[in-house]
Amino acid sequence: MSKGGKNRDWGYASCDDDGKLTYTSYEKSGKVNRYTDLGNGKHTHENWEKKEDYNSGKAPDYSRTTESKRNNPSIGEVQKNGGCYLTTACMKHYLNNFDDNCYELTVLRWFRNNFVSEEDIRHYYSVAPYIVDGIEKEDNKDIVYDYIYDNIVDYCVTAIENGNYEEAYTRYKESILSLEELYSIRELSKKFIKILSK
Amino acid sequence: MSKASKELINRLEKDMYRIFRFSLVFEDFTDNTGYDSLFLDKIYEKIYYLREEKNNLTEEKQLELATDILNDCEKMVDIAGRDKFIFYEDGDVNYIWDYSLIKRKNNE
Repeated sequence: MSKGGKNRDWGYASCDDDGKLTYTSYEKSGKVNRYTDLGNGKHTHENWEKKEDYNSGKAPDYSRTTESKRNNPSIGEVQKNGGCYLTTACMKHYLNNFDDNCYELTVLRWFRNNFVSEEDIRHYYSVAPYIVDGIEKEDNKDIVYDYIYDNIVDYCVTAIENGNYEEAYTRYKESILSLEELYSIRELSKKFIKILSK
Repeated sequence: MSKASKELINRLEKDMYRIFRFSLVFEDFTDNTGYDSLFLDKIYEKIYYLREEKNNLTEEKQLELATDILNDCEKMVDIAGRDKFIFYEDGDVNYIWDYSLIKRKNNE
């Protein structure tokens, strides 16, 4: 997953093998926190002192497997400081001048938080890591990201500016399905096989 | 979208990000130390209300509530001890874990 922007820690939402929504946060201090949605509005919490330990699959230094007292943030909120293929497309488009608070991402986040259903957001975050992985393996990935920027990011931002929210939503949703079919089916199939073989 | 509206949305997005980070940082603090308090409960209640009701509130009202929450978060940091946290220029905050507390608890 891409970084959320320079001088920021970054995180990403994904689904574990049991389909539970998980948020993993790589902190600037070097720690890694992972929160797993229990499906009842609560979550568990694991912490690694060193990200190298997390990356190598070591057990967490702290683990709370019982539910927290606190409610979950919304799924849209979870991704505020994380990366996604739309962010990556903007990063590639702006290169060294990329700012995670750039106009396009601010507008799209506002739209996501106010118009996109939780179900669609959840689906997006279950497939987005595989889409990004799939695109990153392409030789022509820069062309793909340019296409995403022009035909999804810029298109949706223009539609939102003009108040055409339904048009923006349709384009957004169709784009996820298309990118899922093109780039993530193979990766998801591998995951499915892995689950079946357990 | 008017310019004033864009600026307000930008500010609201930044404040909501900081609230999100504080909510996780205080959870780190509680999980590490076992600390809990009615004041901390109150902060989370306000955060929960803002999250649940934001679609029914104007952006101006959301910003007002967010500002109130962030003021409480700063007070909570002072109560917990500012030296337990790291603050970054972009508004991010991390908690400094004391792993000796976890090891001590595991050995009890």
